[in-house]
Amino acid sequence: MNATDPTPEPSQDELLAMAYADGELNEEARRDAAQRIASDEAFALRVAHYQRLDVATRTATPPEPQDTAHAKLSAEPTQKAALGLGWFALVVGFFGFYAWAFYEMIRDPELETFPKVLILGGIGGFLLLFLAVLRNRLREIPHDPYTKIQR
Amino acid sequence: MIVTTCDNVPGHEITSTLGLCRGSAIRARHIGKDIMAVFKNITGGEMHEYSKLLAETREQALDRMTEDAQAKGADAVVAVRYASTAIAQGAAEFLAYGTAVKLA
Repeated sequence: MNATDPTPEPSQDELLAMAYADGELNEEARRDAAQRIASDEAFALRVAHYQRLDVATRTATPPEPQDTAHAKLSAEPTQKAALGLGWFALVVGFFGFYAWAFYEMIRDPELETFPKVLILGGIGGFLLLFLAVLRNRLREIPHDPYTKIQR
Repeated sequence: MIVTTCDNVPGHEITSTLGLCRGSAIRARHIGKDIMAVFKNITGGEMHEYSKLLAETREQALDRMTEDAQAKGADAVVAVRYASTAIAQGAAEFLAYGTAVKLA
């Protein structure tokens, strides 16, 4: 597509999604659209896209001097390298330490099997809960129109 | 949908009041941003991580309030106010509320 190509006409679904996102539907049409959002994933994503645009338009403001300064300083190679290295060391050190402590505990011949199983269960449960929440969040992000707001 | 902090909408006449409409939201950033915010707490300056969080929560609460007003069949929401609470640490919590009205 080049700049001279005409913009394709929006489909009925797109028009409906736009009208829903902009709050232009009457009560009945809105209720119908809400039911469709609950059952039609593609339509729900389309609505989320237009809601994201609506929120971005509403909250867009000209950058203030401190925003520009912050973005410029954050983009400096030294700053980026320090942050990257810092995060890497923190994550490796933190998880490495706990993995080592856990390994030592499992190997400890003085500790009975029962507490080992309890601790293993606790850590397993914690991880399972965390992964469940993380999975949910990752699937939720495409439907969350607020993630792009800056201030 | 007109949303205003005024008690009336200039240029329009309020024909009926539909009652209170409200929306609330609680949002958090991930732990990485919380850790960076802790350091900013030591050094001072704007916590960009939390400025964004506050803005996200404010807009979501506002949208929920507007949806509530739409569900009531309102044309506008007047006397809009924000309130914040503190339930979870490291999370932003906002309540947006106002009066849903019909306009002439």
